Amino acid sequence: MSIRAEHLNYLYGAGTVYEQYALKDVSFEISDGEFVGLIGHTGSGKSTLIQHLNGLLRAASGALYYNGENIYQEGYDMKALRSKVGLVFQYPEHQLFEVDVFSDVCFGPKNQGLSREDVEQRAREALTQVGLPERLWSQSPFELSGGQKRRVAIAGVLAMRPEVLILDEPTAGLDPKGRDEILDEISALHRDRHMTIILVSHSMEDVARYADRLMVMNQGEKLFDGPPKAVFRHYKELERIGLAAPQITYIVQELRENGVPISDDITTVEEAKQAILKLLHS
Amino acid sequence: MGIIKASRLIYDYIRRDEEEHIEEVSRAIDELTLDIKKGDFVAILGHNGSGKSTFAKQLNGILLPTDGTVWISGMDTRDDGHIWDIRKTAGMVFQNPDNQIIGNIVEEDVGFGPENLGVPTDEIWRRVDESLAAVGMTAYRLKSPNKLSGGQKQRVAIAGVMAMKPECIILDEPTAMLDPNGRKEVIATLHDLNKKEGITVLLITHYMEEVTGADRIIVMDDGRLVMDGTPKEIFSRVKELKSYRLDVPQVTELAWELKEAGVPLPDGILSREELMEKLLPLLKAAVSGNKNGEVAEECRSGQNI
Repeated sequence: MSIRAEHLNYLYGAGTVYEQYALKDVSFEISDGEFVGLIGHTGSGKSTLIQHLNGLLRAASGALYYNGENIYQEGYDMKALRSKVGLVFQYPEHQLFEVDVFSDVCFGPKNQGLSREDVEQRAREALTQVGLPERLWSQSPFELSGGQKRRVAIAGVLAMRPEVLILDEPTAGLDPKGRDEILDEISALHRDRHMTIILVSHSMEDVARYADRLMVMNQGEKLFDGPPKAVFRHYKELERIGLAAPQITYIVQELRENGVPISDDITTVEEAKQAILKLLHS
Repeated sequence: MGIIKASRLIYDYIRRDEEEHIEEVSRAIDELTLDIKKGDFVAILGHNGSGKSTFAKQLNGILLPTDGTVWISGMDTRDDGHIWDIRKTAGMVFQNPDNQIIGNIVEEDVGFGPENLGVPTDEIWRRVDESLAAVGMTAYRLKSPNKLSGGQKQRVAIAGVMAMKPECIILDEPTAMLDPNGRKEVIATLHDLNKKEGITVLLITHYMEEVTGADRIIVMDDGRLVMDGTPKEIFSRVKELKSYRLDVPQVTELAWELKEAGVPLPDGILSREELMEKLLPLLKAAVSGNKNGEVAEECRSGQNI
């Protein structure tokens, strides 16, 4: 099971003077159960790319395979694809609309044509997965806090039981604790349910902590693709394209420049702490 | 009295049913007393729902107190006669730049505010020039705002507020939607305006590393002021901050974790330079001590041969 993109190209304003590549010759393969962080400056093509993955946008050229099947072939079931590849947009709470939380989460599976029993079963399961306390299920989603609303929106996608979950900046605007809670829940879905996760983020610290693999987009092209440690070694190139490395990477670099024999593989606070303690106690 | 002063400020969100009967009252601000000095760079931290944004909206009369008083430059926000002076004194910038930009080209957008204040045309252009220069966006003055990056758009929004010649700018999570570069641009612009133009800055944010350069940090929880001090004082209290659902910058966190593990480091390390200054000597001593040890060992083994 995998997503395979081959030479995807996508143009905005095709045929006009404003014609611009939003995706340019993008190829990759994401295997089942990976946790991929997708980073890039505003306008680098991240959002365009993820909308290709569940068929909301169609590439001008190139091919996209889901589990080996070309999604652009005639008669391909796009509706089924969209429930297998769940997409949580930026600020998904703006899309809540039902009278209560539970009905809102039921909306997706209801549209999949499931029985009422199944729909409700899935909604309960999804709300539990995102850690929303049961006492809030009958409330209007508009009365909840920002973090709670976002959980409801994510549950709405989870209730369709996707195999792949794509989240576009799921922590934007959340306080630090709310950010950690949501990311921990996403991480649990990955670990316990073996769900493939694609996380779009502007926080280098977050992707360093959670993702196994990073894809870096720049001006519609894929610039780097590899484990976070390998990608963040290119921190100077990342800065040139409007990104950065986690703060910790800079600390480690400075220590190295000052002759401290510490590994340049370090990208999280915990790793840095262990390495420094080891040096001090050696 | 400072430029912003709140005394026992209370604000209740009141929900009413269809017959206008009160259904529910939730207190967003609870007896907040605060005085902000002119020219200060003040950051407000607090979790979602702690009352930060409600407080910000009190400062230019978008919301009015349920009880208590807010003064902006000595003007009571409940005084109808002063509402325009208050809005001129305290300008607001919000989270999403796309919702704040209305002009077709950058300079038109920046001129919108003073035009509405009835400023004479020559003076408007002068202010547009100055404001764009202050945020470093002069080169883009004839561009369409749609073609700008998030950080650039947010700087145009700040220039738009600057053109109204405020004494104070209040920014409610201005960097939440920006990439790392955009965030850096906006924060650097704010420090510049604060230092060069003497503008009082009130920055609400969830990014801890953005506030280490502030003069003062205020932490809100449940509508109350719970911590108030310099970045060094506030970020020394790591556990307390975490109890308010907040965090510390990664540098501070690493220093704190090391200290907890017994490394002799001071509290409240905020910058990489500070950490290097304290940590490098320790590491160098340990590493060279180690090397000396190895050398000594080699010598000994040499003798054995």
